[in-house]
Amino acid sequence: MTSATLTNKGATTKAVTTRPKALRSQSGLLYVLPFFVTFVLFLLWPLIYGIWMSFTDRDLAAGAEPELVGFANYAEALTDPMVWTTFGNTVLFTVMTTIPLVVLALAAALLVNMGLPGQWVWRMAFFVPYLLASTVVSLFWEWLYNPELGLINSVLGVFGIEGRSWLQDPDFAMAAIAVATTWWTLGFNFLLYLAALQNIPSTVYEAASIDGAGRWRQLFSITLPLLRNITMLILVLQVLASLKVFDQIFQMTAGGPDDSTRSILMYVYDTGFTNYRLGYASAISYIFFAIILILSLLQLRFARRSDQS
Amino acid sequence: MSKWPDTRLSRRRVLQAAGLSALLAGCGTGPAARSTREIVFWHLMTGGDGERMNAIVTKADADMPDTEIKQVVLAWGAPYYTKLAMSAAGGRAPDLGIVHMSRLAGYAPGGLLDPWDLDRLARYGISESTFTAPTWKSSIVNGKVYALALDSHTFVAFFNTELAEKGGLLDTGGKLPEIRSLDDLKRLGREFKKLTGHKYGISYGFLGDGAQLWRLFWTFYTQHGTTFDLTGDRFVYDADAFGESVETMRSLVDGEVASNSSDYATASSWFLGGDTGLAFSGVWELPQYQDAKMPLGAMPIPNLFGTDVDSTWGDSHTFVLPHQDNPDEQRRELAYEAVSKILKNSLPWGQAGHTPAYQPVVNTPEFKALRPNNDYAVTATYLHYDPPSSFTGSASSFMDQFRNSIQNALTGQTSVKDAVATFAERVNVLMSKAVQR
Repeated sequence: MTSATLTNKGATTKAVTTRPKALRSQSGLLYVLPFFVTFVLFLLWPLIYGIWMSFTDRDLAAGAEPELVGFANYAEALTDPMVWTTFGNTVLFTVMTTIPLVVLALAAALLVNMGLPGQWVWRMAFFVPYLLASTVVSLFWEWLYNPELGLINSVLGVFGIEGRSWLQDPDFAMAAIAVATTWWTLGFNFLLYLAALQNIPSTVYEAASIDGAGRWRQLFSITLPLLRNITMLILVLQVLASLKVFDQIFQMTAGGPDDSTRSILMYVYDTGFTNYRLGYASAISYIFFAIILILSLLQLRFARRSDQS
Repeated sequence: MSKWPDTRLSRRRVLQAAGLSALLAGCGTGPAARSTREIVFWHLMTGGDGERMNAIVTKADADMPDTEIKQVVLAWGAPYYTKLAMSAAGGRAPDLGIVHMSRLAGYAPGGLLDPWDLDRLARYGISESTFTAPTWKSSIVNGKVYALALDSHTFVAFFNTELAEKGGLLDTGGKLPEIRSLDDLKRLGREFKKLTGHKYGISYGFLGDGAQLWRLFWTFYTQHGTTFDLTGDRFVYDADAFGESVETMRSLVDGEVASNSSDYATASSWFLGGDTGLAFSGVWELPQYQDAKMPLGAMPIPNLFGTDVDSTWGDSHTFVLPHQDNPDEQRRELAYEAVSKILKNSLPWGQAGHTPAYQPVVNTPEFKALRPNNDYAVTATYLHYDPPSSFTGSASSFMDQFRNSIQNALTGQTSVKDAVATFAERVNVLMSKAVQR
């Protein structure tokens, strides 16, 4: 039986390898085609079209052909205080979410990996919120935060603490959204960490304990250093994801109160789609794009340098 | 053995063929695929409104043999307007659409809408005289009629008649005592509070809700007999009336008569549950209250400022013709016919709380018998739409900015004066950044 299978496999391999090279690359292209078409249509073309649009006065609600305006949109954006306010809000949100989403995800993964009984229950509990749609998460937290009927203020009331309008207080709204976001997306980073933890060979720990290293010593000298690569990956993914924030803010506070939660993508959306100025909105997004690009390059460079040291 | 390569090859062929035909099929769903006797109608009515709209459209459809009115229902809000604008800009506009009157100024001047032809309308029994004055006036942009109103929906005061009766508050006509000042209103609120023992007597949900904030404000502000001017370079407004209106709102939500931290849903649920006796809300809430079998009365929002100006915030759902480069005359005619049929059958729409815009319907005994609808139907004759501009209206940036600046005054985080100044500054920014046409 075994030998028969082997022969068969060998034959198949041979058949493939003997096919002419040109034919193979042709069929390879065919496989790539569906993605390539989507990529060009929905990524490359909009990217190019957007750059062109950012140099025009394109109006969403006008039939007339847009006119070229040179760098006017860029000049306006760089001096528009709302661009910088919303950019600041976006950075604040990124800081407020990235730190807990790395630290708490790691803590959760370490706890689950300790070998607690019923590991799958813990794994599911941390991961399930990630599967929810942003609308569900927003509604859920809006009710929790509801100042008059919400659970949070009711519980605080039991302890004699007066709650607030969490989502409508300029001092707390962004933090409230960051908490909701952390609860929602923790699961993904948690899973990455857990997988990385389970990839660390147990022999390393055995050797360490033979050398007399305690659990804390093992954590700081083995586990954390071996998680360095995955942490870099999670950090990059998380920063990019947080900078893109839109859904939950749009749904929970619509940028309020007093613009304290308005992210830059919301400003782009409002400018382009609500106030019809597609050209100007494109210019703002390309400025944002440039800033992200520079940040990513710096991060990459920084990561490389610390690798070498 | 020799069969294998053949099978593989043919499987690949099949996949290629399938992929190709899927691509071709995907290209075929343009306007050309529509039958000439079908008209496509985009609207944003969901929930109870959606059911009633469906009933009216189905009836109109039945009256038009060989024609099918295809409804495309999209969610209310900024995304709806985006989609409508994109479809018109992309040349694949539906035959008929709905927009809020308050958004007309953002659409008509850009060339995204085609005007209605008055002669053709007259043949279907639609003319200036079949609408109320404010509604007809707002339908006109640059001298042409771009919108045919289906309804007017205003901001009103609902009250719980059972509670009011229990407290001996009603007169013989079943009406609440006349309210002429904020003190009168708050006294009434305290009466209701005493009757129910709840934290508050009046429901007004505004938290995080620019539209709700704006609706009551615009009612109070226009009751001063003044308006906003957004047509020049700078925002022109009456600072005293503005300040007094916001001050009145702030004094109303004092945390005793009405909550200073309730959102729309919370305030609505209190009124629905009989916890509060009076609620400031839009007339579209009516079916929800009636379905719950609550004893319901309603009245226009009284003038609290001694100016004797009747006014309230209001808006209308209106029918528009999204711009088509080469409209099919037959389909366009059908659109006129469909709108006339829908307007003439708009009584069920009135039952949903909205006051029908088509006056012959309002003047029928059937509508007059509708209570409490008929008690506030008069608001259609004096309502004030939002100040026209490309950035104002339903689900607009203006609404967001209003909430952003004014809410803090109501929750006590800033002074009224600062809030008004902040708003004025923001409107000036919106004006300077508005689309140039």
